[in-house]
Amino acid sequence: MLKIGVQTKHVIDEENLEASYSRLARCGFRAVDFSLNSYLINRDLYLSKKNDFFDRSEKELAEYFKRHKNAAKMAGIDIYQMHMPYPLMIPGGKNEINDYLRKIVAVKSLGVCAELDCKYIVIHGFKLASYVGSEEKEWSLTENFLLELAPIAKELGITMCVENLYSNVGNHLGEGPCCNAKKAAERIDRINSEIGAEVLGFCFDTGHANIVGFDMEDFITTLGNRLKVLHIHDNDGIRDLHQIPFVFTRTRENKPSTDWDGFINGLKRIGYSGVLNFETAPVLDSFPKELHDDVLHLIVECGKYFAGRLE
Amino acid sequence: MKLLCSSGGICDIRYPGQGINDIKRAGFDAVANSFNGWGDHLSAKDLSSHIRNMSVAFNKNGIDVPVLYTSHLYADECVRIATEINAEYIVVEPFCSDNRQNDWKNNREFFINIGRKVLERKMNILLVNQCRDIHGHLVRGLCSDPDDAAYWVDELNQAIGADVFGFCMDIGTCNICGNDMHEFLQALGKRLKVVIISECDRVSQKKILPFVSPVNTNYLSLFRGLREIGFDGYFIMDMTDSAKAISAILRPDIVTMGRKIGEYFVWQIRIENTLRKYTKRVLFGAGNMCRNYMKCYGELYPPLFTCDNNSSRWGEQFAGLEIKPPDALKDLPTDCVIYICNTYYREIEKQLKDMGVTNPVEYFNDEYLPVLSVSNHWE
Repeated sequence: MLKIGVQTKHVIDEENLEASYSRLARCGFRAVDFSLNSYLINRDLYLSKKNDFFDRSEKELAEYFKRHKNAAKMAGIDIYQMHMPYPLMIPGGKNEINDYLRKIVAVKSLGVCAELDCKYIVIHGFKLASYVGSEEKEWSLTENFLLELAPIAKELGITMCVENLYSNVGNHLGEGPCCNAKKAAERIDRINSEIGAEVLGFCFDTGHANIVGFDMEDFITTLGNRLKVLHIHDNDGIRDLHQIPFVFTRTRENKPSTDWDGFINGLKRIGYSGVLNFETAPVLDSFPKELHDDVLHLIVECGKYFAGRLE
Repeated sequence: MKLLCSSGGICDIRYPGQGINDIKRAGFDAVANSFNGWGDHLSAKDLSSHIRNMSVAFNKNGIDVPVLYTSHLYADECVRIATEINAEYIVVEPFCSDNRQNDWKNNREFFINIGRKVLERKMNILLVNQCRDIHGHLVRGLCSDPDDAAYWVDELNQAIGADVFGFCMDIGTCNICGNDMHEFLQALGKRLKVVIISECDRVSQKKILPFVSPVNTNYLSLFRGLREIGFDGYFIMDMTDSAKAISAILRPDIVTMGRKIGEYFVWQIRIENTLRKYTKRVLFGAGNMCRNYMKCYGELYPPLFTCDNNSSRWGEQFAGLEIKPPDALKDLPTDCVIYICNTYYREIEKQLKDMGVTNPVEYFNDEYLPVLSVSNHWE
């Protein structure tokens, strides 16, 4: 059966790592999606504010995260994937902060990833289409950035995964970077062939896909084995809510309004063998603390249901 | 590009006279009629008869009906009526099969059959992007992937051996599906013949007049795409649900507003045509809009100078232009246009008139530019 994972944000207590990772193991998780992004808050970045976390030297960062590595290992948890801080480019932002994100945060994130023996790191493409005029031009800026990181990723044996994102227009979320599976597949193959290693892959985000009404089966099938990691979560098709699958419905028949069958069919068709990873940290904010273990169990049970259907 | 009005919500299918007058009074001289949206109470025969009579009535009132819209169920009837009223395009919705794997096969057979029927007539069949219903959640359906849409059109034309098929892009559907419309248009290119424009509420396929509710549509992406492919087809304003919702007493006003919004869209899409019209030009305004003009069009359509009412800035260089006092406009050659680059359009226009300036005056607008400033460092 495939391993079930969850993001560490809101679950792992920095002051109590061993107990936190053990708790995840007790609930049935065997993997985590390490939320490196929680060390550099995106809301702050958009306000051109940054903390000094990544000012630490590589050695200091390695030392800092060693505790996580040990605690996860002791609990039998695999740090399977991680999320790089984002955004990595702020349109109209100060050059110094954009340079910092690009040259310091991104590079050091790869170092942390390797230090944690993590194979995959999810990177957000730049959201610049409205500024530069087209998705192609937007991608070329993202690609330049990825190519800067690619030799480091190659050396460290890391696969950087781009993710399907949304963009905001007024009060409406629409297609953002990496929402065309055919283009994504072509770009991943081209860059990997250029670099001579699997430095680029894809992270399929079910919630973002649901917002823009993707044909999930078709999208996943087109990606094929380029799909390396998952962000599984649910929403109402309008907002990015990061909730547990199967909770949203639009009709009195109370059937799920997210195309979970399409998702499973797609994974089955490509023989997905990675972790079934849930990006559901906000769920723990909405449930009372006393129910958190039950919520985590429920997430695991959803994962087992998916895994069962994939066997 | 020609602006059309959808008769949906404006005309009563049985008594279309008042709606026809409302549409005519708003300044439209062409409409699109649809077989959809009339409820289930009419038999297929009655529905066809009403659509036919309404279309003929439009013609008699000097209003063309170049576009008819239908589901696959009424396609044959639609071809018959289109022939009678000389319609150019029949928009036909692709349909879902019981098994998704058979969608293309079944639609291919159906569309080739319809295509053969119009082969000898000056008429085209247009496919249109569809939603799929996942228990009340509308997601991407047939032809909502632009590459698929282009493929279907090309394959059908190839199968029939003539350019009979094209595409109609429904912006409301794109909106529900969160499509990147610029990308959609790039994929469609010249296959695109008709655009149906409406706002939607993000959960249903309601046809709402643009700008009357918080904007949900990425017009920037749409306009950029239409400009880049040089779209020159029919642009249909569909305000069906807004027109239905408003009192019949006020309905003519919403149709007139629809016309004005449509004209504004066409103006935005063709903004370069306005810039191209004149060989000499100056700007009025030395702020962000002036900067944006220079960034996007300064090289192709260079102004002689800009001017501003703020005397403290006279003589200053801004975005590569000298800022002069408005009085400098009195010495312009007569064929030099003044582009107002400031949102106080009407006030500045009045100022120019009061100054006795007789040069042509045009508005410039930077809401939907080809590119925006990000950061010079990154560009």
